[in-house]
Amino acid sequence: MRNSSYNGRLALATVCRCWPLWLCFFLAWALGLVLPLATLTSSSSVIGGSVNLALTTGWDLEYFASLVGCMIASLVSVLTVWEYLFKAPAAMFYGSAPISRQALFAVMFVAGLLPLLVIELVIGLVILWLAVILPAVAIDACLTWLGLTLGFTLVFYSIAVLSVQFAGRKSIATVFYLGICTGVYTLELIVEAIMSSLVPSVVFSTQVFLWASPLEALGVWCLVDGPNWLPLIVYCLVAVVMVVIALVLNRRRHLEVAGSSLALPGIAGAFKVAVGVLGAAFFGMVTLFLSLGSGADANTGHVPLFDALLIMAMMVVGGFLGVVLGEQSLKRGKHALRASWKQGLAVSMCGAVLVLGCYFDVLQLRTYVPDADNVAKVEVTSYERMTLEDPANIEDVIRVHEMLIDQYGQDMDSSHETSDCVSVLITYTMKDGEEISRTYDMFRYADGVGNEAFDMMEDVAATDEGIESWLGDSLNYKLKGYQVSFDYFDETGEWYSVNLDSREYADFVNNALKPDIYKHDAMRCFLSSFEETNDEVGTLFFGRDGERYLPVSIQRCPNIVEWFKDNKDIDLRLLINKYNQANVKYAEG
Amino acid sequence: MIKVSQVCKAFGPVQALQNFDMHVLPGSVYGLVGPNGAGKTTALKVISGAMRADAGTVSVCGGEVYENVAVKGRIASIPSDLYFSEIATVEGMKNLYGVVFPDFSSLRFEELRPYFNLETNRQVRSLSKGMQKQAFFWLALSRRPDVLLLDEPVDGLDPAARHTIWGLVMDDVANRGMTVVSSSHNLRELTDVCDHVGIMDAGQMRLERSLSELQENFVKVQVAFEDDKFEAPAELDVVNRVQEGRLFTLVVRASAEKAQAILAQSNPMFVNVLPLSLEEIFIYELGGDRNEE
Repeated sequence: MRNSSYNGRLALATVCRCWPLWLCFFLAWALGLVLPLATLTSSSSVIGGSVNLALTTGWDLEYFASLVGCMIASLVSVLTVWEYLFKAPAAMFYGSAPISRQALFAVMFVAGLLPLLVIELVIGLVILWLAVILPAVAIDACLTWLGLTLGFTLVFYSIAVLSVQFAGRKSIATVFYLGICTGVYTLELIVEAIMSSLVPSVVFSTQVFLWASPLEALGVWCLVDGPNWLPLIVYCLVAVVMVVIALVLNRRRHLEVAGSSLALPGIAGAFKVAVGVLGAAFFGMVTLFLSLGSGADANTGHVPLFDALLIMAMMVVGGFLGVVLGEQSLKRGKHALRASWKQGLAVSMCGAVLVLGCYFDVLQLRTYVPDADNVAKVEVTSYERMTLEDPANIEDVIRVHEMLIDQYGQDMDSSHETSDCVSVLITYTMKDGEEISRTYDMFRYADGVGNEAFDMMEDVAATDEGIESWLGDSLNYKLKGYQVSFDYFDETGEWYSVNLDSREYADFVNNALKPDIYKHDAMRCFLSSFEETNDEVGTLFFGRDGERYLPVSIQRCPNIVEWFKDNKDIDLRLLINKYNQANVKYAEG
Repeated sequence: MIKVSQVCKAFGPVQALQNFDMHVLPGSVYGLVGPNGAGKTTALKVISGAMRADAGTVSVCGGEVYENVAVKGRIASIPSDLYFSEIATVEGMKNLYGVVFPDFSSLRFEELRPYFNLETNRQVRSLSKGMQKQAFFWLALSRRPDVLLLDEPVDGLDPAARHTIWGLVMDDVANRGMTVVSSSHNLRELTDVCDHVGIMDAGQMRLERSLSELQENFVKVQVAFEDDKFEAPAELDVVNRVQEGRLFTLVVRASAEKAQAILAQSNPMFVNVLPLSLEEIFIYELGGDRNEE
């Protein structure tokens, strides 16, 4: 009998049954991508700058929209196509039909995935056609969008298929789906934020479980630093494994659980605890967000006890309520509290232990200072960012760190007027690869007392390594309304030209100049800050090897060339073009 | 044709079927009766292969039914909760049946059209409950199944529709030897169509007989004596006893002849044997109380 294996006609019938869904998906991409591209012309540029660069910004948004859109579309597709898992009459119908469980699984899998892929392919072909006829549309960007979208769909659809095997109701299935896609890392972020508020100076940014949340992982690893295909390929391979697991679960599943909360026995406890943990985290985060706690005292580093207790209380309540809510969602009835109070209490106590442990720094995280012998390098970020590998500098930074810890423990009286304050972030990279970060407010006092940390930091910054380090990294800047072009020669006479869009935040030194800037004895140039205040829009520091740096202010006027005429030994020619004004060029005399 | 042996099925703490046995002969019309919560619907779902039994075996047409595509292809099932998609019309469901069930015959569907006064381009959800039931009978019979499982089949049907549908079903039974298992609370109607009956209670089969055998071996006897003191002989299995003075009405598990012969030994003034309906047999079999006044 032909239905013992895959039934293509059933797949087609299922696809046709869900035609409104596919139409919505198609229209979303048509209106969100095709239409904007089709109406874009090369002459207009409402966002300024070149069209290509404008599109670069827009394409980034499209890639992220694709990530989120594929996540949503996959869930909706699965919940619609796989209805026999959620409705008892449908389950009994397909259960009594002459089709095997794996054949039915294959039919539904294809019926829900294929339309998504086909629509994306069609949209991709349309935008490629636009790229051919419109010079403003980059072909490689279109191909990137297509590849990313197809990959994202494969990943999230597989996750959705796996998620629905656990649940008999769509709402519960959605909870599982969101938990798999984003729950773990989001929970990590929330817990770290709460801990950071309770343990001042300790920076929790471990990203330990980023890999376990595909939404964030694909966003960070695939998109943030430009389209990166390897993580997506890995997740696609993992998606294949997920599908296999989903098939196994589907075959074990009793069809009569359609309409029930959970489809598989034994996971109810874990589900309730997970909801409880999320509840605790949510309540704690809301408390934090509402700034009911004012955070650490800037001088002492102490979190007010009331704030800590409030966060703890909210986490206790949230954890308990979360477990009860989980029980209620599984078994709707009046006995949810009685059935789940023990687990609720356990989750609440864990939240309380976390808060109290952080507040009283049980693990001594706040006062921890690594051993200099185990540190490979240290990165210090204050006014500038220094990366130090010299053991002597590392030891000095550690001494500064110890001073800051001592400083935090003291309660300076009001007569101790501060004249300066800077935030310092110290990140140790240990020899085993571990990273440890701490952040402090570093004060300079008017009477000079207690400035040891500040002075020592300046000494470190004045070393060769310190200067070279923060010099190279200090060209992070943001220009508004200006386009900056750098043309310069290196020691071999090679001409380099760097164009920087004024709308972008670009570390062009790290990308273009840094590899060369130490090689030649031409000038080192960096722009320390850029603010549109009065006439001064920034300061360029010019200098050469062995010399100090001459600050040169840039003003918004065509006479900027005058500034450079006084520095004839500068090889770097700086071109500054104000928007819509004539170019001003400086030619070396 | 259908052999269910020691089947157990539980839903959490609820044991729906417990060591459940059932035997249905080929070409018979089997009435599955029982009180609410007896497990009738569960039994039918297990027989149809939609549910997997926790224990025991379910054999239909000589083969285990669960995950047996060949066997399930010979079974048509009309449950009490009908399945249709939100936007499906009768025509759409016909197309779906054609895709899902290889034995679905469009020709047979058209042959049966005159018997069902339904517009095929109407959405199924817009039809009344009775019309929906008719539509699914139409679809199921178009498959010409070897086994037809019916759960509360005539619930919601008007008398004319019931007559039409049972007529079509019995035609298939007579002409093709189709086997029918029907659960219903309408025992009077089952009496007209069934030739075998199974009475189940609390997940177990209590009684399974042909209807004629059941009616022959379950009688009501009215017997009167000169005095009002009468003890039934031990060899007479009395299920129910009602006394009105010197008149005793007994429901006994025995044939009419046997009952009369045994009672004659007590020198009654008169003995009158009355037949029992299926409904009465059901009540007395499951009640089981020997009421004495």
